[in-house]
Amino acid sequence: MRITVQDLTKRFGKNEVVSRISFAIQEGECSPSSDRRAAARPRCCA
Amino acid sequence: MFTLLGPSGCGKTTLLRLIAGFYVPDEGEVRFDDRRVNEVPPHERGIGMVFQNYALWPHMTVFDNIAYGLKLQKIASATIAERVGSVLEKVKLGSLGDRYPGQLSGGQQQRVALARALVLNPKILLLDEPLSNLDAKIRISVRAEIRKLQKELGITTVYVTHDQEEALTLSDRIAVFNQGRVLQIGPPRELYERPQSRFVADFIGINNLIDGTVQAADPARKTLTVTTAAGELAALWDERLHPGDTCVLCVRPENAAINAPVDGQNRIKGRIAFAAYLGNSLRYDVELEHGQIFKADIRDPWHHEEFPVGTAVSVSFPASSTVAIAGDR
Repeated sequence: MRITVQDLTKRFGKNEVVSRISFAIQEGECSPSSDRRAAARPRCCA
Repeated sequence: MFTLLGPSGCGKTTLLRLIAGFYVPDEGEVRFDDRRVNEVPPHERGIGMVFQNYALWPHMTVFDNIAYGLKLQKIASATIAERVGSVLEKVKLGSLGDRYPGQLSGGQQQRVALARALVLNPKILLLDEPLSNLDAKIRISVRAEIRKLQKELGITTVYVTHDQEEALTLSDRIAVFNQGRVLQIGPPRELYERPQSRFVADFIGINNLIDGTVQAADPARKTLTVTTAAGELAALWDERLHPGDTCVLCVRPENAAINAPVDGQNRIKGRIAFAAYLGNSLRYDVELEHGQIFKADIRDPWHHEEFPVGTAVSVSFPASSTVAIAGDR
């Protein structure tokens, strides 16, 4: 199941504990190790 | 596995509880697939949750702890027995169903908590610092089991931890948190090798941080020249940095060498201030001429004769492992 969090904010009293958080987590969020290494390769590498 | 990583009090557990439904957000929304779940109570979200303190019933056996949620759903006894047996096998506790939590080790109790979450066939698994109460060796073995199980079952999993090594080992992607905000999201290697802020560079692993000003940018050679208190240093080119910009250079101790006869690298002079033997490496604190401490690792201490404190040395490191971050990030 995909989880999407959009501009999430939670305050306790005056304190903003979670501020405008956004991201998406894909189903399973796991991949074979080779794909994972490729995906992880820094994008600004020469 | 997606990990929320940050120091204590940064908001990561609050975010997990917002996803679980224990808190209702003041602004924004949480969606599971296309369904908005802001007002859906936790027990209707199809989640399984594991807590740091296990939260097992001490007066119930392992079997009854795991079966509890299924009994509430009024599932037939034979089906409950089958599902609990199956999940106990998955977490390698097949023979311990009759024990009470107090008769189990911490690692076994956490596996019962994991089994209790999994037996409900959740669509999403939420893990809140599940290994923090375990000692170092058990932690490593349980985290390997969690990772294996998550891959086998393919459940979308959100993992909360303050332990950066745990996050690097377990995660497909990590969101680094500080003061209620996400600073960077990426695979472990990207966060370690290409931090985008001083906080991320400093929080994940050990980094030498050297402040400076960009002197020149050379996109053709993929390098920046940076003026620092330690002299002129070369770093990886970054399109966001231009001459005159302030920046911080990040150098990992494992990328630095002491008294290495290598040309074409950054080189700084200093004196040995301290040596820490770490078993698989030896970490020197080198006091640079301008007073900053620079950490450099010797990766094979077996074949290295330790420099006495006060020895004058030169530290070298390549531009290709020197990352520049904009000074205001």
